[in-house]
Amino acid sequence: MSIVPTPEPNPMVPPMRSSLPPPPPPDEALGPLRLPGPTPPPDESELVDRLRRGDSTAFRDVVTAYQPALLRLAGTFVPSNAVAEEVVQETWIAVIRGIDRFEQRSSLKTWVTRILVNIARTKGVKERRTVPMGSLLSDAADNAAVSPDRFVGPPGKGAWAQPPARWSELPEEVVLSSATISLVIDTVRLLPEQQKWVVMLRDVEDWSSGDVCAALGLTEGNQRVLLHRGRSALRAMLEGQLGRAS
Amino acid sequence: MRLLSRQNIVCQQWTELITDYLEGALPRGLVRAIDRHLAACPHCTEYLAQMRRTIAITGHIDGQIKGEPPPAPVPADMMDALQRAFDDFHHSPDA
Ligand SMILES: [Zn+2]
Repeated sequence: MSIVPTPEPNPMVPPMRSSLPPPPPPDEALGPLRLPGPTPPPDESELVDRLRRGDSTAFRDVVTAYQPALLRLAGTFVPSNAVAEEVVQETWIAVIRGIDRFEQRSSLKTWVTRILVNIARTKGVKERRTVPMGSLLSDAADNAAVSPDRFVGPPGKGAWAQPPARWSELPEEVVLSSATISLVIDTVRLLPEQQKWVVMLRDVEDWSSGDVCAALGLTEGNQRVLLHRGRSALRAMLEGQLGRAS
Repeated sequence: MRLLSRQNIVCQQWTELITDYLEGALPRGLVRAIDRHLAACPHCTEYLAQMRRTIAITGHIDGQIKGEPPPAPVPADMMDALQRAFDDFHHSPDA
């Protein structure tokens, strides 16, 4: 199995557009934040040329710039720091061997991360440890964002019986306490793998949805479903820390 | 279309539509229905605030994902090993 993704998806042609209605004009965007599409790849042709020519300084610069994020990502998916370092090392070896086939349709960072994802997935299968996958964090399709018993009314169309607490009045030091952060870290680690990749790249690494789709090989629609389940599970867990019903 | 533009949503539906709403992936009529519901429902407005806070808190786990200090710079021995691999690849006869 080839680890190096080739050909890359063309970021100029986002998948899954056909099933969506045309986006509303900008002045219709009242509440929701309109996210941009895939980030156009920056002009890295000079850097990529230097890597292809065997310029060690360029290579060291790229390793130095990407290593922290790559280690952090790998560390979320494999059982130990040692394995995470192995994954990152193997990623760089694959980058060295594959840079000639990199077509620069995505950014170098997206391409390198895609390689990391493939290697971490392969390792994850090999070294699968027993992850306690509670029903709360299951990948089941019927997983509701909020437990149905919090609502009254017809199934799926209920009104709040136990409405959400007012976190908006909590002071920052409570919201961002180390206990809260630990809970989020633990919950992210327990998310099903696909949700975890999407949450890590979107909400921790702050990637655009287009870049996440390109790196993980997902359609926009699938990416949103995974993001929704992951974020909803995190919100539900945070109720234990920040307050459940008001 | 007139009927669609008057469509209503209820609280439980909102909790499943919220991500598509935040991602800007919903049709205009549904966005209007949601905005009308939010204007009338403080609980769903709070749910939106909770979700935004959840996203913000998740952004703060950066660098602390394993409960350890942020990763140090690339260790010299690892960097040297990688650079050797890079140089070998480019200087080997069949490169
Ligand atoms: Zn409501």
